[in-house]
Amino acid sequence: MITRRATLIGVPLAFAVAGEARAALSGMAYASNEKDNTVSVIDLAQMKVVKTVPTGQRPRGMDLTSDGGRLLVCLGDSNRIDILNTKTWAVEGSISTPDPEYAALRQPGNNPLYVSNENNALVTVWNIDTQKMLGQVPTGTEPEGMAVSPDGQLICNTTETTNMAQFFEYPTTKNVANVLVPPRPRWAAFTHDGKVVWVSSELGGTVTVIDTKTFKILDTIHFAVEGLRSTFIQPVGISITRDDKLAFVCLGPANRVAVVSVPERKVLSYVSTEQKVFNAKIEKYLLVGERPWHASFTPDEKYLLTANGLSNDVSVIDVANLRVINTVPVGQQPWMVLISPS
Amino acid sequence: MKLTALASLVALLVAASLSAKAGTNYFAYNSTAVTTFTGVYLAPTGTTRWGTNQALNDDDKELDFGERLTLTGLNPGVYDVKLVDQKGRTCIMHRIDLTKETSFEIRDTSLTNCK
Repeated sequence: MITRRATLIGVPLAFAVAGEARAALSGMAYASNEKDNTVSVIDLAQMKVVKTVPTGQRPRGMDLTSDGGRLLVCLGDSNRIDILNTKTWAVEGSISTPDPEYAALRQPGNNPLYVSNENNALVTVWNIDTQKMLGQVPTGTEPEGMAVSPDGQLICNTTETTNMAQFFEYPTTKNVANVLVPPRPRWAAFTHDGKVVWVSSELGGTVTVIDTKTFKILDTIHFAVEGLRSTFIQPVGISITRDDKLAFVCLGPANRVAVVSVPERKVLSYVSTEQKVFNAKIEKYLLVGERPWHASFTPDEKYLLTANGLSNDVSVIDVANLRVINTVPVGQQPWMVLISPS
Repeated sequence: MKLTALASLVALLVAASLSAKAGTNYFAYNSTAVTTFTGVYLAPTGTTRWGTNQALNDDDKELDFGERLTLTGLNPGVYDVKLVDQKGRTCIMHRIDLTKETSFEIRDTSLTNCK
């Protein structure tokens, strides 16, 4: 559980305890650098980049196979997704698909792969072993965030311009619901029990919580940082702990990650759609690097890494103490960071 | 007759070559926190020969914050960039070098001379 403190914890203090935290970290993290056309490989034990992997053009969205052996990198300007072997960094295969923005694997089984094709208003479905397309589904304009429910039965896509969270069922990809959300929805994250999905709206400055059975909006979470204009608060990436107790929301140019406590799930399902006060209480804002887009937990969830698009680095947050304990320089305009499961 | 055909062929090849160069993709990243631009114009540095409004290349005809804009019709060179924001303010970025890089970034710190 998180030790709850009421104060903001700044970077200088964080550096003071960096040595202690480094000893506990291990494994590898991968950051996609949109402007550099590279993926930075970070050794978490050393807390530094140990390899820079050249990629195609504009790497942004990524996903990992469940064993961490293959990293899928969306290359928007190369119109393909490369499948990289995380031991050799050889390209094991490529999926040719126009303007891929994000991709999400269905688990278990690492198949199929759902891809949002931003400029084509499509979600395409792929087998990553054969790299063959299994189907395609029309969406609203500029599909962005892709997520698959933990049981693999529901797919969520957010459409940036038409402001919708769209839901499709597995395996038919039948469109079962479209939910209007505040402007520029960028990301969707299911809770681990699959009962709700959280959708961030970058321009709306909110996170919408949607029931995955009824597709009703259970609530809308707003953010406010003292001394900061609300327009600077632009939620994008959402990471939810496995116990569904806490969510970390990257707030973009606010340079913060909001820590949100997720309410008891049964209580959520009874919340009126008109209710404005969400049960989840915002606990704290973490000051991180500039413009955090996305974040990922280490497998033990003791640390959260954020990809900071403007400061070209990755922040490492000690989750138990809510401290930024280190910052790792990576390539230019890091967009997403993923962490190997082992 | 043969000479004319040869000249036409050469002209075609030159045109194709120029067209390929102009076809290189250049990009402007709007890394400002909250500023949207309705006008993005480039001119050879030190001149006021502003080209077309590149913001019109975007789907919604604006370069929103956090977005990237494709710049068309450019050749490698050094440019001044004129930006017009939604409030009608004009800002100039000087000497943007697109000889090696194929993109540049607009940050809040780039907007200090807006009028």
